[in-house]
Amino acid sequence: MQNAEEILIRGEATIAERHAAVTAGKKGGAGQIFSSIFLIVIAFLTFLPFFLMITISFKTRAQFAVQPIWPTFPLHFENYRFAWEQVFRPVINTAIVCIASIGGTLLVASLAAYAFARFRFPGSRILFLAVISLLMVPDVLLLVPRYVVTSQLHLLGNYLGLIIPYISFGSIFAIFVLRTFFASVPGELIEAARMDGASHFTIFWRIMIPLSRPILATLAIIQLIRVWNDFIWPFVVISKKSQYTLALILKTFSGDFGTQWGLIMACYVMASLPLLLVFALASKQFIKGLTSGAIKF
Amino acid sequence: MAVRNLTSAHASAAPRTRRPANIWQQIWRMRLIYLFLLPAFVLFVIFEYWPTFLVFREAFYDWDGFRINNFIGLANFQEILHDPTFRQSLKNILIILVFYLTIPFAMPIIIAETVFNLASERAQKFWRVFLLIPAIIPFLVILLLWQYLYNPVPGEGFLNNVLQHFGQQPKLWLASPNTSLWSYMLIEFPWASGTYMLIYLAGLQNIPQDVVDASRLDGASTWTRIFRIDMPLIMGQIKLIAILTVIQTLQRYVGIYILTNGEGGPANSTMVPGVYLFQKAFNAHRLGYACAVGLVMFLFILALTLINQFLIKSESDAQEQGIV
Repeated sequence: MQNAEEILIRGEATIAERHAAVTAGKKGGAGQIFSSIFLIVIAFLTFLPFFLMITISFKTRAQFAVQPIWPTFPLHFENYRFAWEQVFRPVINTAIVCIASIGGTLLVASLAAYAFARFRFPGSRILFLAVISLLMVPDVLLLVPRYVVTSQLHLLGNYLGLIIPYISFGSIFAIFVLRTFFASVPGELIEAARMDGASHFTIFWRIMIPLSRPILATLAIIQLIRVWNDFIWPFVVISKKSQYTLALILKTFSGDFGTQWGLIMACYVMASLPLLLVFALASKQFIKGLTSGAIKF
Repeated sequence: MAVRNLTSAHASAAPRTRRPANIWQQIWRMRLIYLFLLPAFVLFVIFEYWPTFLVFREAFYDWDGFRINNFIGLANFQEILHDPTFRQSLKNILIILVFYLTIPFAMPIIIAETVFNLASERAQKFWRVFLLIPAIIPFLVILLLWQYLYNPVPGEGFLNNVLQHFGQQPKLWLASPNTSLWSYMLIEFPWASGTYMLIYLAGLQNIPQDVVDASRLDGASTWTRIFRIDMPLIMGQIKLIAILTVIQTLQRYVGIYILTNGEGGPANSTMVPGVYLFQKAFNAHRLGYACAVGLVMFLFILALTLINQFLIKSESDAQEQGIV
């Protein structure tokens, strides 16, 4: 520590030395060990359910009865074959709903956000306030009337009954975020395009959208997590089992397969994989989506 | 600013001479822009504004969603306030809220601070990503895994297996009115929410290095630094997440709905307003009544958010006045 202080005080330290000096201060031996132990305990407790999920997913009913915690051999991979059959269709269903509602949200929201960000027109402020005020309306409040509206439009039992309200709901936050982004795009760029005779729509489609790809990806992830995890809306809209989304089918497993915990857990693992895959492919956008999506409401 | 909007630059040059009665002309000139807004507002009118209006109107109606629709004044609200089930649900949600503002609220801050204090940058990165994994698992899978942990059938549920291993009596967990609410609240123990942790960690990493260095030169210990520098500087994040926790917790019901098969049971011990609303709407088909419940919840959320904001504001004023 004294050494570290000397280096800093002399003021002739390079950045690397400064960093070394400061981190040297961090290396309070016992504290570091304690911190690591604390994190390991936390991680152990956090991951315990997942550990059990994976070990049990390889068990037959007999193996589970004898040893419900630790792994048993042989591992029964056929549980996963069964789980794949159970989960495949709902995963496809959910993916259709997700992709459609993400595409719709991004399109609807970016069009509106572009108008709000780049133009002053009669009513622009009031209309924008009207959008922002929707952020304060809690989801629960609208459950019942949205259900009635969806039923009056004959969209119950139909994927459109999921997709269209998701687009509407998702666009609120997306407009809010995209407007700020579009407003920050340098005006020269647009002016130049105008000079070249580009229409509003060309500017939007050829300049604004390509520029905002990262933020669109983040918004897509936010919508993906929301829709993928949503239980209550599909629960009231969808009734046929062949149309079930992942969240709906998951709830039926423990009832349908009784005490065959190996099969049930294999289904849970399978159901977790798609999002983990997206995370592996786009972890940066995913982390951004998670953190900024949490700020919502 | 001029380049910000080319069309209005043209537009504002012209109207100088004949200004009045131009609003319709302006609107006509900007008709293309309204076309950009059209899809969003068509959706909003159908799925946001109209339903919002319906809630406020139908709360005063006896309504089954299609045929029956009679104005009944305040009768719905009177019934809600006198229904012991609803009162129980309010009590439960307040217990849940108070609990969520204690340990589950503090854990992400503690973990972020611990990760932030790790000397090795690689270790920091590792923990950041590793603790995020639970946030990527579908919410329903986590819920159902806990349902398994709590399973009271002998020889099946993990927690009872552990208890029996240590010679303790097995518990009923979610299946007993005495333990169900606590069992629900302990789900996701130890609440190492990767998302909130990341938000705090980002806040900590934004603290200027000079400030930290200076405190070290002044001989501040790690603990002093945490309480005198780190905490005040991430107060913004803490407040934000406090408000979010209040708003989101008051709306919580899906988890309970799934775990108790829509009953909020046993014996209403886990009944919360959301489950109550859902039951009234979709089991009893009393949609008007459910709208009234939603409205009461909304006012409740609004009131608590305002109180929360007020309290937090006065707290930050206290800080500015030199307590920290």
